[in-house]
Amino acid sequence: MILCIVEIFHEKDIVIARQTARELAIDMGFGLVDQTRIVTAVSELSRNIFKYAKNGKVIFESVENGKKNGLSISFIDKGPGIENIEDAMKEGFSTGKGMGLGLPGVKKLMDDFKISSELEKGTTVVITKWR
Amino acid sequence: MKKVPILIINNTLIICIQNDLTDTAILELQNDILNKTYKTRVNGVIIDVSELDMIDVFLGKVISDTAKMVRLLGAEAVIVGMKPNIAITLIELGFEMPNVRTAIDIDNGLKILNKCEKYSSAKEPEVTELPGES
Repeated sequence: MILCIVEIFHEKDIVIARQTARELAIDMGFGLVDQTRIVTAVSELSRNIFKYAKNGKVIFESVENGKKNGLSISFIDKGPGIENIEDAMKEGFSTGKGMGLGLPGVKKLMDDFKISSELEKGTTVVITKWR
Repeated sequence: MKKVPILIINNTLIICIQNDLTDTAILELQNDILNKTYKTRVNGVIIDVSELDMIDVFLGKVISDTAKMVRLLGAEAVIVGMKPNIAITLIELGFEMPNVRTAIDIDNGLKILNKCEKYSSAKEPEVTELPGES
């Protein structure tokens, strides 16, 4: 079930995506450390949209898997895409000025992490944290 | 845009970083801290992160870079008040803050500064300048 959608157009939308993530994580009963992991992951991936694709959207969904429920967040942009996903997932790799911790770091913070990308078409990252 | 206040007390700048700053605001704050350190000639800078409920790689890098830049200016910097949930998340992300002094709170941050030669050997605090001029 979709809970909320945040459009990323301006820098301040990264802050809004973070605030939304925090509120939803609290509502869903995540503990403090998981709340922080989720908010941090949302911050990293929203910034990626703003930095590389200029705009895109973040979709927050509640998901179920048998007994467990979780928060799933999709980051969708129609930006330049990622040339080599394998490289992008390597720690220390960055095409920008970043430290290259972003994508591999986010993967470590979350339970599930899926990425798909096509050059000139865009990138979609879906992350999930289970309760 | 929110402006983070920078306090000057006894030869020390104290900055309490707030939540929900944009990346631009964070970079402006870094600039303000360095300019104020230079202009007021303080010997210590305390960056309090206890209000923050998230530090991502960008913010973490700006904070630790600021501490190193302050040292290049000739002052000492301490980062104080990091919460456990943030420490866990930063290390899981793969981000560490090597060569940066940290303390559990402002009180202990001042104690660490007092142990630093640059800070403690500085002449007795000159007349404390009022913040606000820039």
